[in-house]
Amino acid sequence: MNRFERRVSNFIHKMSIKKQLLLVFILTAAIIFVANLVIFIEIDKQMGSVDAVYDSNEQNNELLALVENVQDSMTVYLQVKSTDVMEGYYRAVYDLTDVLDSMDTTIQGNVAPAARDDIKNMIYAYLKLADETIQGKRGRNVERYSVNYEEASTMFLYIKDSITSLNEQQFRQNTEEYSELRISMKVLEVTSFVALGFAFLIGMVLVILFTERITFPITDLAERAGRISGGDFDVEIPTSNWTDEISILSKAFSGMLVSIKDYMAQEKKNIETERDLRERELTMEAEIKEARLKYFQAQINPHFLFNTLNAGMQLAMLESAPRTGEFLKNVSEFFRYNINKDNGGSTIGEEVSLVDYYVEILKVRFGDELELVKDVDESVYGLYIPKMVLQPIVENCVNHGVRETERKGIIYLTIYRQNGEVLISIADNGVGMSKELIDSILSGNYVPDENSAESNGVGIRSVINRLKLFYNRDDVIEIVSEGKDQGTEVIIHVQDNAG
Amino acid sequence: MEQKGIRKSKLIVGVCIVVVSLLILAGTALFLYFKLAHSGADSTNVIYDKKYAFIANDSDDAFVLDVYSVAKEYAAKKGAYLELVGENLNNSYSSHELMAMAIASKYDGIIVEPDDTAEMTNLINKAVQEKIPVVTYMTDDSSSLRQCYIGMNFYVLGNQYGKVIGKMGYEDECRILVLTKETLPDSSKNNFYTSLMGELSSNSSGNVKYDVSFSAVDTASSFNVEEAVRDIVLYDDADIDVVLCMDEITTTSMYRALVDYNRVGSLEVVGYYNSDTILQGVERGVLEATVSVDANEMGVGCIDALEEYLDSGYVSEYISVSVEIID
Repeated sequence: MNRFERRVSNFIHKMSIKKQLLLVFILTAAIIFVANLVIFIEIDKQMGSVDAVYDSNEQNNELLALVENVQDSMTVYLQVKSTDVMEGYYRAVYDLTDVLDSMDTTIQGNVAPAARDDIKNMIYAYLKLADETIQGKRGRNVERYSVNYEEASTMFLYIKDSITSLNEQQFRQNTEEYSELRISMKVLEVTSFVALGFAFLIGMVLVILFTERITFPITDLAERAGRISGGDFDVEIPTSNWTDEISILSKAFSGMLVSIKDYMAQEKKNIETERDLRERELTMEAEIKEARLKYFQAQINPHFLFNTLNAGMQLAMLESAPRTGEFLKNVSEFFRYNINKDNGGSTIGEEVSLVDYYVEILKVRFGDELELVKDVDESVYGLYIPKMVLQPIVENCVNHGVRETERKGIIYLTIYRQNGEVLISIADNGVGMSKELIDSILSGNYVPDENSAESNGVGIRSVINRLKLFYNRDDVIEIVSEGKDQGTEVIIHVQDNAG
Repeated sequence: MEQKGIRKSKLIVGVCIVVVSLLILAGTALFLYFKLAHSGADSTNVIYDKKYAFIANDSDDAFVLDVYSVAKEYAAKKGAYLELVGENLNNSYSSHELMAMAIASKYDGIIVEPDDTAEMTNLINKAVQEKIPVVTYMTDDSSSLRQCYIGMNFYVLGNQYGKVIGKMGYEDECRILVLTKETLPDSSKNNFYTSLMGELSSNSSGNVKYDVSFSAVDTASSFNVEEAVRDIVLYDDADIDVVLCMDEITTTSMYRALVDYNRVGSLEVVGYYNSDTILQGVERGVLEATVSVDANEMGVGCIDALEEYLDSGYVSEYISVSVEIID
């Protein structure tokens, strides 16, 4: 039963709604049609039995009329003996025999079963006698025709009585049956009313069942859609392998829900990325502002300083002290760089120049005790990097590395391309760094004394932070030291635009 | 889930309604079919192979009608329709006219009660010549070409009546009136008389003088019978002691007259046939006795005789039906 039910259900749902509705209509119409058909067949049968009675009476009357016709024409012929009358007689005989031949004389029924057969045979006997009579008259045999005429007339009376009696009997029987027929018709009326009532009931139930099958999925889907529009995206959309329009709609709806979910996830990710970028930008701006503030703090009216330095430089020229003049020029350039290009980034070339000025200034103090060894691939000079990066590192190398040793301090500045990156290496032969210190610096926990007299105010922490923000990677800078007195190397990984 | 359950139960209820309604519809159709089919005019439509004619001199005679109904029922079993000729006609016809009609209607066989007239003999002969077998019953027409006669033996009948009269114990004289049908042939009367007298003389001591007279009653009309019986009962000129009735109508009429004219006991009547009325008369002592002729035996015998003749071309010329006295 269950399997059958599933099969029927599948069969129905593989049809389109149009076909399903058509099926409902056809089914209900067929039931009502069959109910009506049964009723009409029965009515027809009843009417048929009534008709048969009247048909039979009519046939009997027709037969009697034909026999009377023969009798009349025979009588007239005996009186007149004209060819016309004889012709009329033969025509009447012909008509009569024609009807007789096609007469059904099966002995059956419950009203005088043999009557029709009797009548037919009597008519044949009568016709024989009538013929004898006519022949007698034609042969002027008075005795023959008068005897035969008498016998024929007697037979005619028998026939007439038989036919009228049969008619009456049938009529009597019909009258008896009429009351039965009335009852039958009454029964038929009631039963047909009941039958039509039940046919109507079946039709209605079928319509309700079918339309429910059609409308339930729609209301169900609408209810789920309502939940989705209320924000519940975890609603399950029922799907099936049926192929009616509702199932197609369900599938489409389900697909749409999945797409919306995907789209929303993607959008969320994008927003998060954007927010992250914005955050980094803001932090970087803050760092730059902080750096700039430091510079401003360090500045004591820079124009006055430049003028003073230039005056010093001219004085040195006048007094023939070229080294002093050179020194003052370097100092002047160093500060100009800081003042003019105080915003955003700068190129590697500019940064390297700044290192050069700085080292020249320091050389005045340290003489031959300090040396800068450069090995630079100049093709990378145009590459943009954050501003004030190299000089603070060199400054650290001098202050914390080289100055604390007895031997000559050498700063190695090496810039080269490797694996799609530009590596800027600043190394010294100083005291080196412990592993803990390196980790502390890289993680940003180390707080140096940035206000010391030796510093220009831009600490290594700021450099590291800005590099990380600028390149959005944590391993943008690495510090390598083999240990005590083994020197320190700081390597910056710069993204190579050319690469 | 719950909603699914509700839907399922709805579906089950719906399917149940549909199934029940379909069953009711089918039931209604079947009911209509059977109820109306059996009320139809032609529902008992039996088709017969043959038709036989049954011609009675007197269609009021209960005995004859009993014979006819038995024969009709038996014939139907044999596939033949037995018609009481003239029964359904508006006009009344004599047995001669009915016989003529039966011959013209080409019946397959005719069962007729002859009336001892030459015309009937001719008609019987004509039928036989037209290859319609004829069986006579009740009374015989031995001079005709009839195939078979089925009826009581009048000799046996006379014998039986003689026994009844003998028991009445008349000592010196007994006047007996025999009421016969007009149609009874003389030969039958003679047989009857001979055996009656033989029985009476052998039973009595020889001192009793039995005076037997015959009177023919026109049984074709019940009025005539009533008249004849009334004359006998009321104006008993001949001082009759015993009346022997030879047919059912006369017996019934006599029973009524005896009661009506207060002649019970003074006129002894021996009846004929065992209809309910006659049996009642015997029971009450109004009728002395009655002879019982087996209507079943006669009816079945008529049809069997016709069937046998049609089948084989031969049949016994004379078949006797047993007679019993009821007193």
